[in-house]
Amino acid sequence: MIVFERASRWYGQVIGVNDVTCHIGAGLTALLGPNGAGKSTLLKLLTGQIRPTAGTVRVFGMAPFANPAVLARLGYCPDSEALYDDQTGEEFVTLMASLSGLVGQERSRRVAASIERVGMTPHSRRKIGGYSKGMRQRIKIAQALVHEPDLLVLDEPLNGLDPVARHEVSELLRHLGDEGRCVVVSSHILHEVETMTRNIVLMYRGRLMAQGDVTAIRALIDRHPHRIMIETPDARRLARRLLELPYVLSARLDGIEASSVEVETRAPETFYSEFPAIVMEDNFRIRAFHSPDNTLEAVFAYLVGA
Amino acid sequence: MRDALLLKASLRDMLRPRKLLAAAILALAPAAIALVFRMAARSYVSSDTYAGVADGALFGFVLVMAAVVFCTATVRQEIEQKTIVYLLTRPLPRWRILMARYASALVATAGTVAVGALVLAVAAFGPRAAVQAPVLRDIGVLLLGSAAYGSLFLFVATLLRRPLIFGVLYAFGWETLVPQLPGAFKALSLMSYLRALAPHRAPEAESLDIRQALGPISTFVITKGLAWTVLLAVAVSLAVAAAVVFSQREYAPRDDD
Repeated sequence: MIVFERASRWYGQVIGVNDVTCHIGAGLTALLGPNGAGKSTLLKLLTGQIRPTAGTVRVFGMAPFANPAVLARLGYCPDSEALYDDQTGEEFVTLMASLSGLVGQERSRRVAASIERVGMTPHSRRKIGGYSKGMRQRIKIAQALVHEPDLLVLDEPLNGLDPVARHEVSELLRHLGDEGRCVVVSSHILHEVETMTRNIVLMYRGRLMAQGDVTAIRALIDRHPHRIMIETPDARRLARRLLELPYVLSARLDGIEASSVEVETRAPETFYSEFPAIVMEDNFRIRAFHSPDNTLEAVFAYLVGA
Repeated sequence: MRDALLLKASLRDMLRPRKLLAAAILALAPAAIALVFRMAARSYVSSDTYAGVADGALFGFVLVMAAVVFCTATVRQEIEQKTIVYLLTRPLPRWRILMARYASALVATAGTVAVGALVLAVAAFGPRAAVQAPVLRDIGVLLLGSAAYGSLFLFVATLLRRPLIFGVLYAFGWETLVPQLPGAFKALSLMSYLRALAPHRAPEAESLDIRQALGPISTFVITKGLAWTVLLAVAVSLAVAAAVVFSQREYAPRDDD
């Protein structure tokens, strides 16, 4: 359905996408990478907003740039929050449906159905200018769905959604993928896309790093120790306690008067699930708790050997 | 059907309260100037006041500014508010998207100048005598001018990132300076052609203009036929050029992805 053949895209001296070759078929595929990885550029290439500087991009066997035959079968939900604020949600989706060639009762039916599908029916007669970030995100998804496209492209669709809405939208996208449509979703949050699909395309600094099942990518990531920083007045006692755990590789104090411990583990999920119980049992006082490795940027830095 | 809906949405976009206010100020400004003349002049001649204000304020300022404001917005407003992506990812040829938006900009520009001419006539001649032959002629020429300037600024908007700056420089620099230059330079100014179609008799001057004193420097004369031809050719050719450029260029705003 989507074919990139050695596609590159430069913005002057800056590279957006570098020599990407990949095929994306039916089902839900997550395009994963840290900010600046080239995800949005890749999506703009496949939605025909920009042309590749080198190589080719084919969607349904055709070059997508300004191609109505491709765009008729494509729904796009951009990352930007920008919308026509003086229109109501219903007017906006109706306009987008009309521009996709829908008319009359069929248009009204599909507009109502797509708005219903994203849970915006109670708010559809309100001006978009008064919408919350999550509501804007939902109405953007509705306009992408309204003409029931074969290919649905969503740029960071879960941004700004509350946990319940995230779950609902994830379910909706998974369902659309299960229907046999090609759904491409970009995200910079690994666990967010893991709940939706196993099929992942990894991008980093404009290059395609890996493509395939998320399990294999997880295994790649898990080869590298994961760091966790814990700030506590009981740093020495906590370090001693954590070193007893079989999955903790090291616990480093930040000095003689230690106020924090940096832990390295190969099993972060086990650590995160068991750590609260340890804290409660031994009555540790924890001031702060974070991981410098929790960002995808760090994961990718490991993967490229930085 | 799709074009009509897009036109309707674009028109609504053009007539947002802020733009409507700007259009109202532009349309009423010449009438305000005429009223000031009417109240301040020792011996008021309505036709002279109308001619002077129509030539300087309506043609020389309101027409060009309305075209700059509305016609550059056809593309740039969508890019700046990042909504262009919704239009360019729909299965509609790009030239049709542009033309639908341009039509709405033309309606707004033409409406502003036509209302401006009528209100000026009311202010200059009074409400009962407002509908006069020069006023109706001026409205016709202003509509043609809207199309010519509109296409020019539409074309510029498809090419430049800051078309408004170009428009203002063009309006106050080029169109002010070029018609004053000797020789056939005035052929490069759209305003010269509009003035050939709608000449406004200047009031009797107390002193002689230096150009009149020196005599005709150029034999180049813009006939009405030439003016019609050039203005129509500019209106059509630049609109077509804008459509071609819009179909080929990329307008997706670059962002950090």
